[in-house]
Amino acid sequence: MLDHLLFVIFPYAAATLAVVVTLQRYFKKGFSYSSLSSQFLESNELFYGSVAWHFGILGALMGHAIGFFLPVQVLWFNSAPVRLYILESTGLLFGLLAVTGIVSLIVRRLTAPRIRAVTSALDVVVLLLLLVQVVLGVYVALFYRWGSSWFAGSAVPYLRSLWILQPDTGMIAPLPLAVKMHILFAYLLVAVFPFSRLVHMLIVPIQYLWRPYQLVVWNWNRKTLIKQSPRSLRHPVTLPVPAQASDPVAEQRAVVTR
Amino acid sequence: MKHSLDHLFGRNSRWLAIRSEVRHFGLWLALFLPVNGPAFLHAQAQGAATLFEKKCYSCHNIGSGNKKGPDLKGVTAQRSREWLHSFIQSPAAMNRRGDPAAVDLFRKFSPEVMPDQALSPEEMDSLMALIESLSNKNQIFIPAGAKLSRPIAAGDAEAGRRLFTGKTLLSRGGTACITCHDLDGAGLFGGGTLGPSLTAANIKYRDPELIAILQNPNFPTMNSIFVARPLTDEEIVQIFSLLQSTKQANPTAAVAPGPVDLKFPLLGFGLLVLSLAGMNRAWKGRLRGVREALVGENSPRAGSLDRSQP
Repeated sequence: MLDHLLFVIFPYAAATLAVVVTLQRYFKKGFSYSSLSSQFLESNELFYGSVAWHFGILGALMGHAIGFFLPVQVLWFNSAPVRLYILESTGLLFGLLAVTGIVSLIVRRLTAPRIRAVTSALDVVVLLLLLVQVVLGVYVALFYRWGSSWFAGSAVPYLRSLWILQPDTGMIAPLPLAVKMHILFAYLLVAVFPFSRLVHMLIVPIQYLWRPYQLVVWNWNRKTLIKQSPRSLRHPVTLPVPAQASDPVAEQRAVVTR
Repeated sequence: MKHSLDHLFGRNSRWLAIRSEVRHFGLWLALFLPVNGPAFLHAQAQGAATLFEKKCYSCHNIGSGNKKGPDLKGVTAQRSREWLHSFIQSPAAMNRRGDPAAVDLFRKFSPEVMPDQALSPEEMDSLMALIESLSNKNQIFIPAGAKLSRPIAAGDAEAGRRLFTGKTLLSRGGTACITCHDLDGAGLFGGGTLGPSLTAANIKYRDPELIAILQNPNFPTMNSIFVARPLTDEEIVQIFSLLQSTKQANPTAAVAPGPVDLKFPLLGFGLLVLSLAGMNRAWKGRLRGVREALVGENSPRAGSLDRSQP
């Protein structure tokens, strides 16, 4: 009965919530669709956090998607132990990257005062959910291993049964607790998704990949400027400071802004 | 189909009663003949011994000791017919209800949990009759069908190894053994760890028990995969031969799990360090600390660049 509640009713509720609230938020408060970047406030720790996290989680999610859509092909690929090991260690690497990234991001969010000032309770909840989820994933990869193969035999039939609206938890009922928790936390994340900054994954500006590149034109002599300017002006940046004619430094800055 | 109906109606007693009534009148048979019919008919015809071999023998003996579950010798004398019926239908439900005997069994055989058995009352009665008659005669249950279809020949162990690792795909579509099980010599990082290592399988089980398991792996995790995709007779001979030759090569293998293999985690850790170093190099021209300096200069405490100052 508990299985039925957690693995049949809960995923449907979470998915419904995700779809409805995602659409409602998009059409009512479209401008709230953002990752709320904090890059401007701190960038050193952010590099290892953000880059490792995004490579790790995108790779891991892609792996799960491939397992779900192409289980037979994955089983075929894994039919030679060397290929199985290559696939599994790639998956493990993505998982470890994600763990490294999320730990780094959590440390940064809690220790950098500027970041803390812009952190909401939901941000903390989302970060903790993600941490538990990726740690569980790595735990399963290490201790109940060759999941890339048994995922196809045990988890895929269950997920497909949900997909075709004929839920059958028989396949996952006997799986170890860590695996069930991993599935459960995935549903929790789906439920939290539309309320959090996670929605930024729906509006990734992929058109940047093919839009025309931008030309940056320097219209002053950089070398003389560097000699007389503070450190922060040695790179072209955009600043929210209005130009003021009486202030020579601000005048220079206005040029940069344009 | 049957499962999804169970989900619709839950496993409450009323639904179970209706279900057994329907089955009793033969309607059940007509309704689900396309899905479950052949298996059901077959089981009825083969009688209690075959049913026991298929459904119970993976975990239970009659008269030759405990396996994953208790030896069932004399169980019909210890427990009432009603108790046995409701326990077989849903052991977990009995445990949840706090039935003292069920709780005791769950504690003793933890972490094994007996799955719910979709058996009709008649089938359960026939099994109880079998247990009672063997117990009374002080005989042990020897499975009639747990025999290899042919004698083991040279090359079977090698063919079994190819099946184990998945190089030869199982012909009815089951997942290769290496997915969940380790075996001595199964590859650089060994086999999976979802299920137990099979290096010592032949020490833990006697030959007919092992053959019966290969024929009907009635353990919860395996059952869900192999009930629809059983091994062929030929595959059973080859895998059995592999397990036997592994036992001969490792006569002292312990049934308990060995130390955790560190090769795979270490490889993962090495790859992680390499990737982080690679990222650091790929983005070596990234801006470091520029923005922080700007934010600092723009904060109220900073000097000339503060917005509030003219």
